[in-house]
Amino acid sequence: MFRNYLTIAFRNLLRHKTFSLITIFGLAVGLASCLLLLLYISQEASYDTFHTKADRIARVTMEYSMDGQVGQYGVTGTKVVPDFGRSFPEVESGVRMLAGQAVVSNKSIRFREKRFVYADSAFFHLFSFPLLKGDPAKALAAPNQLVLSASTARKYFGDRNPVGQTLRIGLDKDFMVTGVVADCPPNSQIKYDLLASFTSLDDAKTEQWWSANYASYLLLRTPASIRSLEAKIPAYMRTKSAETEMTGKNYLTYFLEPMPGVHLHSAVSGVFEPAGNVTYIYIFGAIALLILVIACVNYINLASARAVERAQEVGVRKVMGALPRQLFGQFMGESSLVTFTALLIGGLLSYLLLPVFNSLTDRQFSAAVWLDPRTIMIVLAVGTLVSLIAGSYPALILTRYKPVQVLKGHLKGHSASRFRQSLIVFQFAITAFLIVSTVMVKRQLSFIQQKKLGYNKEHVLILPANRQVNGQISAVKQQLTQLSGVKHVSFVYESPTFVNGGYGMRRFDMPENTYRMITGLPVDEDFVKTTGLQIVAGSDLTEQDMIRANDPKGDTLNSYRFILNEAAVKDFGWKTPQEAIGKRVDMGGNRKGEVKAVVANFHFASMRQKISPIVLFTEYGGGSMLVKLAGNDITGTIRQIEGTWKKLAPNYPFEYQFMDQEFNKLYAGETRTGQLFTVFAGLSILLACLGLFGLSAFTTAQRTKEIGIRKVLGASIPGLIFLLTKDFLKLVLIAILIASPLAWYAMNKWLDDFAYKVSVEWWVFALTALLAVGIAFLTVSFQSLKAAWMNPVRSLRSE
Amino acid sequence: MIKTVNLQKLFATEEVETTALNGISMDVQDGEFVAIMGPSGCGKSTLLNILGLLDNPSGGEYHFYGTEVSKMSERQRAQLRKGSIGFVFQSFNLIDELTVYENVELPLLYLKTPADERKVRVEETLTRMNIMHRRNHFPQQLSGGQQQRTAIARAVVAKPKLILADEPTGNLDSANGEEVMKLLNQLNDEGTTIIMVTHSPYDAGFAHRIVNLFDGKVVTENFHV
Ligand SMILES: Nc1ncnc2c1ncn2[C@@H]1O[C@H](COP(=O)(O)OP(=O)(O)O)[C@@H](O)[C@H]1O
Ligand SMILES: [Mg+2]
Repeated sequence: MFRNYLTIAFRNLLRHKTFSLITIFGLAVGLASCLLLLLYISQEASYDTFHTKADRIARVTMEYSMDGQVGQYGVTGTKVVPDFGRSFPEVESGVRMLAGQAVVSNKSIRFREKRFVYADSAFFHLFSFPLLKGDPAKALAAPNQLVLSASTARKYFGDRNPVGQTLRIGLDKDFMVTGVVADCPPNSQIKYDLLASFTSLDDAKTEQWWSANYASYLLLRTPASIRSLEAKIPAYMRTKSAETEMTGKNYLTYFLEPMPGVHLHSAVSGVFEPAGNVTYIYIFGAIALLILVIACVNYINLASARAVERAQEVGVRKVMGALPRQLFGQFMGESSLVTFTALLIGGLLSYLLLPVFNSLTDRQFSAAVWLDPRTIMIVLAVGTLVSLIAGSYPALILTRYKPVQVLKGHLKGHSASRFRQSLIVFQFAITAFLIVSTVMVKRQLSFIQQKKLGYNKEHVLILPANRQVNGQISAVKQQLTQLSGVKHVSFVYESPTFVNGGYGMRRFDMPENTYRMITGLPVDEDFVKTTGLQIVAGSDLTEQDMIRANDPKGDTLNSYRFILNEAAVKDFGWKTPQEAIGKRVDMGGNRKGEVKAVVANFHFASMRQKISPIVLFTEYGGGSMLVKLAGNDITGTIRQIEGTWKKLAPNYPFEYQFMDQEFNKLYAGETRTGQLFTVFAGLSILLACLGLFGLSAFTTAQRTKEIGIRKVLGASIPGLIFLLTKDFLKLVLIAILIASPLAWYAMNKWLDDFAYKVSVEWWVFALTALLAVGIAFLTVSFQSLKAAWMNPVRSLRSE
Repeated sequence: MIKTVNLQKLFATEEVETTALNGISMDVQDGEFVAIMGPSGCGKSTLLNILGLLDNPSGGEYHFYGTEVSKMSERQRAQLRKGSIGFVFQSFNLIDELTVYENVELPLLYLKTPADERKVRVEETLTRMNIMHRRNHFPQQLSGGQQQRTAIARAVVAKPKLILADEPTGNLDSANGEEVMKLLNQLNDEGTTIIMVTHSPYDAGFAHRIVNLFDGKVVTENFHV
């Protein structure tokens, strides 16, 4: 019997090629999208679960409040880990880490390493990163020890054993390689290529609550003590208020985040990589599901439309003694055959598309995940579920036919039954939703691109300023500005696209120790010119200002010069920018001087946040060097700069970035979302149209005779096309009406994340409607045209 | 033996109510060959469907080999039908996607006949219906006569006690029709009860008895001897 089912299923598939192609291809694409997105979701969800002690590890985050302003950070001072270890018996051990960059060389092999991490020696005790060579207890114990990841070891030493060799870090420090650790997996929040012993740092010699630059992780004795310890911390930190200098209403305290939750659920960012976002997981999961649903709907629609054609077979089988149960089984079997064929093709498709997906998501997924038995189980379960959902409705319809009704002759099919109509509406509602979302995400992204930032990010190079360069700032500036393609050169602590530094500041006429929180950026006299900030009051910094501020013998009460933005002026209570000029301010007690200029507000953080107060102050930060180019012959100018660089800083690789590229990185997440939306919205349109195509082919075929008669009676071709398409177009329009308010709501929610954003306008919906109706019309009219052009004599003979 | 008492059948659609059968009482003995005749629309197919347990009457009694079946559910009727009744239709009703062999095999599959026995019986029947040489053809590749012979093969392969034929020669030319009638006659000679609807007086001549229907009622019964 089973063979008989299989035979008939196969022959059916072969005989109705269009239908089979649409359903199988549609399901395959749907399943492939699902498989790929599943990969993404499962990697995000599996973050840090590979640590065997993950449930006992917590990341320490810091919160402090100063004069009513609260700050939260994913970093702490050096003191937390050792102090908590001594004071709380539930702490078994802990690790502090400092993540940064370093130029590493083995003789002539030299690279700037972007994932250079200093870590305490308990690193291998807490985390389950397998040490391939070396002793986990000793590898990071003594100063100037270095553990390399396997691929880093290969980079510097080839196939030789690196243990016992030395690498030079920066200009003059030699570190001994004491071990080789496996490359860190992609689903690890801690990202490293090189691990250096924490004791190598000068800062490690003292314990400090402040100077929060370090990622701190604690290993507790039991998972439960994460919460109980966290509850004790505020009271404990109050006993330390003399040390932390946080008295009265001000406080400093810490929170503990269970390690596996940090990546997706933490609100504070850490030192390693941007955190994941649970929202995107939901969004991608929903998209995968929606695409699969669209593909399933195609199957349901086409199979149930075609059920009419198979009524005779059902009737005969019933007369021959088939029980409803057996018939149901047969048609479910057919849907599983279709689904599992589609699953096979979909699996192959997703395997082939993996590189594309990787570049789209900026990840490195490997197909190996799919061979994992758990994944296979999930995939098989999805396949079974799909064949159940897609197969059961057609099977139900078919099984319900009464033999007497059917055997008289062919049933007239209601090709557009209510149910099928609602499914089409549903499909196109999803599609319209995805189109609206895509358009809105793209609009917001281009809005960010084009928004006036308050500074000019075009043609600005950012170079890492190293010790050699910082030692000869004026020489560097002088030689570079001599180049015809270079306009300005500025030394600054960090790039103005995203300023991190947090400081406290007060007006001189405010009581001491009442600092207001303000973002701060050490700059030099060329910064305003280089970035094109707009001065609204006062005058720009001069070389003299820099010299005064950095003169150790100067008047410490009035050595600094400050530039505030308009938000800062307002925050300090001055009525106009003009009023602030010349006023004395004090930054954290050790930088005092006058406000020299006020600049118009500019975006020094992501567009998600409102522009807050910022101060630029006269200090050689020396983290980055900004070079403003004239804009003509950029490649030639860069080559000249490289030549100068090689002379001035021969020990450092020449590396640069354009400021606008760096700016774009701030929105990498949104850009990726935009691209994914585009791809999957496109896919869903394709699938929905395929379904419409199949269904219209079916209806049109059913109405061949009617079309013939109408033609004989004098109907025009446009009239016939209108007749055949209007029912479908009506459904698409209803779909858009349903989807619009949902999309409007969802997009407003998404845009809520941005302080600066576009608004959701009506024309987006009009455009979507036009697009959806246009595409649907093309799809349906293809079939109608064929029928309308057909010679009526031929269509009349077809009955 | 089958027996009906005052059989009624009403079809109620949205607009009209049709009385297809209006008090049919008839007996058919084992081994009989009965022809049912009458003008189009008088209820012949409706009667045959009820006799064949494909449909329920709206009223009256139907005793199928001693069992009262008029109130049975579709499920129960399907069980009772299985293997005991063979059907032959005017429009053949072969499954297009199955070959001649597979079409004939179908009733045995639903009866769960073991594979080796199935093969023997299908081949035996195909040979008998003189269609063995076309066993791997699909219905569309056959002539009307060949298709009807396949349909008869399918109706008899399970060796039913009763064969119901609804205008079996309606779509055939006279030569092919003659051949089909001979086959039915031969089956009846071997003891199978046959009830056949026909428009053709010539075909009706093969039967032992003719029941004439008009407007859902039996008007005359003619016996040949
Ligand atoms: N499923 C049905 N629904 C409504 N009316 C029906 C149905 N089947 C048959 N009829 C009506 O019942 C009457 C008898 O039909 P039928 O038994 O097919 O006649 P015959 O086979 O004698 O030509 C006809 O008037 C027909 O229109
Ligand atoms: Mg009839």
